Amino acid sequence: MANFFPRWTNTLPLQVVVALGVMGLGVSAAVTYYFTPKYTRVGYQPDQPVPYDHKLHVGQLGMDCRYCHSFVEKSGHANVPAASTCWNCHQHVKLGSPKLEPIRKAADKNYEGYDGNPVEWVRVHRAPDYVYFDHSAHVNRGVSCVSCHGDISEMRVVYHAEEQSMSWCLDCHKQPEKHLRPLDEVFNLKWQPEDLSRKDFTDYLAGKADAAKVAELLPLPKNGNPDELLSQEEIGSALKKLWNIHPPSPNNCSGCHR
Amino acid sequence: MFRSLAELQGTAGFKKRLEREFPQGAAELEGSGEDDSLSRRRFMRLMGASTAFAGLGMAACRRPVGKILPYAGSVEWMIPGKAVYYATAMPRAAGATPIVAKIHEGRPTHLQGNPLHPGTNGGTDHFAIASILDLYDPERSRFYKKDDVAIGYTEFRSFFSAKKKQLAASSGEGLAFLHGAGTSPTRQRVALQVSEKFPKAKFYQYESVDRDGLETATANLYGSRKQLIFRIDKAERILSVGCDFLGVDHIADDAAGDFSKGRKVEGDAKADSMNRLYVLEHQYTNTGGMADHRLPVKVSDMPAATAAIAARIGELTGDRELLALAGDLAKKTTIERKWTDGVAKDLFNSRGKGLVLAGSRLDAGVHALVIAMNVALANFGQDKPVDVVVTDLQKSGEISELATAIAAGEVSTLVISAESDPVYSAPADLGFAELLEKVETLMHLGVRDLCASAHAAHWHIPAAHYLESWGDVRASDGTYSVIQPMIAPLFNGVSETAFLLDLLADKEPEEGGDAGLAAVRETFSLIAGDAGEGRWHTVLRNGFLKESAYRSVAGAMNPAAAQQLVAGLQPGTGGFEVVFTTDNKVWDGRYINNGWLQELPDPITSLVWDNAALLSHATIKQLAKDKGEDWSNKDLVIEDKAYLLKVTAGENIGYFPILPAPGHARNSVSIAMGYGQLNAGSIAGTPQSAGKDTGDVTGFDVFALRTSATPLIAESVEIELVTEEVELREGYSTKTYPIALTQEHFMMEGRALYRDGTLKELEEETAHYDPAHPEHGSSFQKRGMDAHIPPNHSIYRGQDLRPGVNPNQQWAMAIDLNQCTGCNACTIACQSENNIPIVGKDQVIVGREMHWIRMDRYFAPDMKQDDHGHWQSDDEDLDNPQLMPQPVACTQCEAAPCETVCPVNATVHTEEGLNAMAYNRCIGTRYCANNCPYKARRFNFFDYNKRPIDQLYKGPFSDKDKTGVAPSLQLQKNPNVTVRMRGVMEKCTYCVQRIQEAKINQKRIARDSDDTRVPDGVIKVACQSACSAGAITFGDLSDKDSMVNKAKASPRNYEMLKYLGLRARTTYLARIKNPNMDMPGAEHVGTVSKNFH
Repeated sequence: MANFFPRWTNTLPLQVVVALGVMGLGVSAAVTYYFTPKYTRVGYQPDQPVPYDHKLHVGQLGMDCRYCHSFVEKSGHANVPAASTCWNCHQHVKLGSPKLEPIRKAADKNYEGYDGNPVEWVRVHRAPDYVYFDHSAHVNRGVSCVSCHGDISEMRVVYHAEEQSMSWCLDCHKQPEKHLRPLDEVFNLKWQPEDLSRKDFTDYLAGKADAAKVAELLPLPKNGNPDELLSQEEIGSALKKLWNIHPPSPNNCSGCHR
Repeated sequence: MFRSLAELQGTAGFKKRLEREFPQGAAELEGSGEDDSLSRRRFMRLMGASTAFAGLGMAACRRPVGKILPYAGSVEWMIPGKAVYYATAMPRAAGATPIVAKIHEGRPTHLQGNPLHPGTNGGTDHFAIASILDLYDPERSRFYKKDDVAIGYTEFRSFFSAKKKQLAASSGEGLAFLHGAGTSPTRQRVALQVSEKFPKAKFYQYESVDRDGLETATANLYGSRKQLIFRIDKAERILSVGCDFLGVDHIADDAAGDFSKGRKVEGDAKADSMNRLYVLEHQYTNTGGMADHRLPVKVSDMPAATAAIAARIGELTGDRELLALAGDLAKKTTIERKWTDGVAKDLFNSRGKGLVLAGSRLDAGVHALVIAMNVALANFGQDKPVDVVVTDLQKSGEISELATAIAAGEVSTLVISAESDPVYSAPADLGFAELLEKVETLMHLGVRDLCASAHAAHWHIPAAHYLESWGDVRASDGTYSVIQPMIAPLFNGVSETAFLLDLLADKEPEEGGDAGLAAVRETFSLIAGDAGEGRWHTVLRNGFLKESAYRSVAGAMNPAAAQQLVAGLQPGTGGFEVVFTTDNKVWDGRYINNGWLQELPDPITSLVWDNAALLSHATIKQLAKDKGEDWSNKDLVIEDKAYLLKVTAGENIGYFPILPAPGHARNSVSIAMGYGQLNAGSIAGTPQSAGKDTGDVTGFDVFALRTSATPLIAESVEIELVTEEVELREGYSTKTYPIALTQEHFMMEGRALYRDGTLKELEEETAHYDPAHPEHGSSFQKRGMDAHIPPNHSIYRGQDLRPGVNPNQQWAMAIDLNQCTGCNACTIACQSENNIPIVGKDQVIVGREMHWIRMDRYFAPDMKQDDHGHWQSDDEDLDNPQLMPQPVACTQCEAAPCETVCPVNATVHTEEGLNAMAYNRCIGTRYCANNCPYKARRFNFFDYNKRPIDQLYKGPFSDKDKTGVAPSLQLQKNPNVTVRMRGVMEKCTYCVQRIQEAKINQKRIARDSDDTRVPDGVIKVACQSACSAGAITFGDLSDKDSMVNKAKASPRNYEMLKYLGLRARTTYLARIKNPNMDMPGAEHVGTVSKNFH
């Protein structure tokens, strides 16, 4: 009886196994990269009906975040401004710009195209329905806008800067000291820990706690230099203890899921 | 102690239920809807195919574009994401329920009592809380209708303008109004204006559940425009003759709250001031359940029984008038002398601090006797339990007068706005529906257009719900409240007041305006005297006008009138009686299309989606004997089915399912009104019994048997057991009828789950109980297994939750069974707050109801040991057992058995001691429910939140136009709670959304301080705020001074199923009874759990 199978088929099983292995690895790698928020979310930069320029308004004109996102300290939801908020200024400034057309339609009662319908902004950051994120709980306790949204004051068109996945949330909930800063600086998107002098910070702590506690909260730097620049870790740890910061831990699902 | 007859008899079916996590059938896809071919296998095949097709499309790869639509112009007070609370009031037939509505972005989502209101102190009931669902009912009236067909607004306007002109020309000749009872001063003022403009117009009023007896007696004895008000909190001894004041007899707006004040035995209350309640009633009610002494008495025997007690009181007080009043009637009573003597003596001994009440639907003669008793006992007065006040409310004519007028051809235009649906519910002898054919123009104004009156009317006008229109109301004590709209009319409805104003106006009504506002403001300025803007806003903010209660008047009762009323009373005949009772769920039928109420288990029978004929065991067995069958108690029970009863009253025949009712008077049949409405909506006409046609109507209509002479009972009736098949509804013949009873669902295994005691016992225990050494324990803590099983040490330790070690606040709850009346308001509040769906009758039968907090109701007859040492009870014991309700929800065990078995960590323990659910993680293995000894977990067997209940079994093949929840119902959902989908387990989490809200709010206040602990009392969970009686305390276990710690320090505090070592966070406080040892049977009161080992 003749050989049905040529010689090269002897290695076929091995080739198949190797090929499958390579494919499997490839698929796993692809899934871990492409199916995660790091890929699906970060960089998302949709066109908005009004090309509102954060870099111009915040970065150059120095507007505060809370002028438009006015309830961010009061509510869980950081509101997108009503058209009437834009109109407060733009009824005087750049009134004729065609870019403002949707705002005028919504807010300018004297405009021929006025219909009073809200402007349909495109959502950039979206938490799933089963996630109950609360802005006010964060900004009132020393977590800055920058921590989750990136430096918006540099964005001509807003994009998704951070991945905002669950593990990303938990990183901070496990180690909040990496992000805490004095309340005055929460809306200062350019703030760096080095901007805070050790003396000012010590004075602030002294106003809140007795000397022994302050020494415990902010020990002297290892080199003993009282003017040594502060690090984020130092500021964060001190504030965490002083303010009794206990974010819901990874064990506590009900902090974010109800 | 038993929950159902099957448990008492220990049937095999019952044991099977006890052992299962969910009742038999709950976990199977059997008998699936109309299509039996949709077996599980076929279902899997179809689902597999559809999944494969979905995969081919690859539709879900791209991120969907979401939009954010802010307001065009900012809205005052509105903070997106934050709820706003507004005060308003729900009008009731004889008062009001002041409420605070929670508004999310302009849509009311939840109703709570108004704690500022002086009359109610935040009390509500399940009707008030569930009324929000009526607002969003997708089958509410949406259109103007002509001859039951929807028409445009302009068509109605042209008719109405012509009608107005015609009426004005004839000064209202032939115009009549039939409205409901109500206490709105504005409606009354506008109605007067209508009478001025149309002098010949007539007003009539109708309520199928009226208070005629009480009102007639008051008017005759004290003069017109007088009203009695009852201050139950001031009464230390209460006798109720057929008055279910803790349930459906609305004698005061917060009767349950007032009663509970006198029931407190700890804290500020002195033990010797605990009140004592005597109840005579024909069927078990919430009130009877709270009674220290209860006696079942037929309604027809109540006049004689009242007279007998009056005679005893007359003898004690030496009041000749009262003796004369009681007269011969007293001798005809069937109650034993020891009972009447005991009650009378006790009432006499606490003269001025006692109260005698009679059911407001009882005959005026009984009320005359009761008033005379209260007068003789000096219970009347300004700070006494009962008082006479002047009202400004005028009563309109009776429906029988209207019937006479129509028969005489005097009515050509009739406007029906009575919520009682007169065409359906008017007394049968009036032949109201046929009479209406004589009326030329019949207009109906109502929130529902699927009711008999709307179907019969020539013109239907959609009415505005009270949550969407301006109005006003007086509470039962007279306190004036303004009803402010919480939302603009969803379906362009108009309020009754606005309709009357429209009739008066020459101009067309303004589009989108509510003419009621100006009218209410005018009434307000008349009542308040000062109509300043500030005062008006204060009233809107608080929800009521301070010090506007009715004025008390000193006045002597007219004895001659009393004599005359009492002379009309007859002693009972001894035959059968049928009692038409007010339903605990649909009231008189007006809530028939409200799914929450329909699926709320009746507090006594635990029946849902139906009404039934309630009879005592002995009576049923007697009926069987009449048919030549010898039944024992075991024969009365058939699983999920009921035998039928045939009731014949003259020409009218009615069939009703029979429910054996422990504690029911013999030879008496109770049937709840309001059911059996045809074409009343998809909830009212839910397809039942797995597609086997039962006529698509919930319950059975009893109004056909009711006459205007005796609207409470029918005496000349014949009743018999149905033994042959009968045609129950068209095309549906049967001998038995499927019923859904939840009493055996979610049974727990263990003894002394419910604990009770007497006041004397409590005093003894309090004397030597030290909460610092709980290991010694009180007698309440050492019952059942806790009496002899050594403490169970869990090998699963979990987190260390001890205060001091754990920095977080530790949440816990205490439920005081001494305050709980079993009214079920907590269940409805929980449903509204937590987006809990209804599941329909079929699903309830297989045990899939979703209520997170259920009311376990136990009956406890006196048991005797037979020759073999078995505990037995005979029929006499079943005639008057004790009733004990116990609300059970997830107890948040510290060593929770559910958590250890979850394969995906969907249920975990938080640092705050909550047994948390991450719904998005749950894969639906149901292991947790299997492992829960309290059976507190509920599983979504279907997409209850996504599909109407008649489409459940069709899944993706359901009618396209029926898939999904009606948009209006979506508006009710609480945005802070996940709406769960099919295949997800759910349960109580102590309203974690409220806890989180309070915690975040505290952080917002704390800012850069460390003060992050939520102060005690800030968090009120939904069931707690709904409880008028204040039975539920919630708070922080790590705070020594918290209210919940104080409650748990009581010797009555016990942990259910403690022997399992679960360390439940919810504990119960044993119920305390205050028996009068002179009464017959007093030695058994409050001793049910004493001998459980």
